[in-house]
Amino acid sequence: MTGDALDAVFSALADPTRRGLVSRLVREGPHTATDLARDLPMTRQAVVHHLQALGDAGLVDAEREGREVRYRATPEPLAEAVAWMLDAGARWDRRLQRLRDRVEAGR
Amino acid sequence: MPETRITRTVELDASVDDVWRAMTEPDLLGDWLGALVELDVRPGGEGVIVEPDGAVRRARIDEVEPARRLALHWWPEDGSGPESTVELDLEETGEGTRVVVTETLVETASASGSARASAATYRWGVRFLLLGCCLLRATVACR
Repeated sequence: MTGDALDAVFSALADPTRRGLVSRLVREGPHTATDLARDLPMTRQAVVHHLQALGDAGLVDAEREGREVRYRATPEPLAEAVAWMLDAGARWDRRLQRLRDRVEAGR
Repeated sequence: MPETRITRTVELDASVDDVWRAMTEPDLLGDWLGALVELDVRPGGEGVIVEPDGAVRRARIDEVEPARRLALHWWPEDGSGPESTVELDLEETGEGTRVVVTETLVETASASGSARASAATYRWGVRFLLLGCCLLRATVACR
């Protein structure tokens, strides 16, 4: 992987929406942009734009199925490791915030 | 092969004993570790953790060092994700308690098999991603 390719990975993942899209595609398998946009406060167009950035970074592939384009996380260990780290990290951030709220309550 | 792991460090304005209680008493675990926690906190003890988003994990306790360290491993009940180990280390600071969380992916046979196919990319990539995630966290913290 070249330095440019890594720059693309990092700039793609600097955006929380894109991190969420990668996690979701790894977790749930391929989706169309329409599917993905349904649960997000943005247009399908905007989701496609994010998916293209992830595609440029090599984290997501587009596959044409008839008239539909489905996006999937690339089945590389790299993408899987990224998705796992993003998901596990976000879960701990939430848990530790709750722990803080619990033990610091009343102080 | 390097391990895929994340770490988080927080400083809490509470005594080590209070934090340890929150980590080991079943009633208190349900306030933060998950929405619903049933965990038998002693070496070899087992349990179930249901997260607020409905994700269900099974867990087994590996180590219990009172007011110092709790280590366990857990895995999604429906097999939707990999097994991982969790280490919670406590340290008394002048002002309160430092908690360091480390979660490490347990490599399965299939994961290491596919990793071997592109071992160089994987090794190199993960190392870089660990750095990247630190940068991402720094970016988030700056906002």
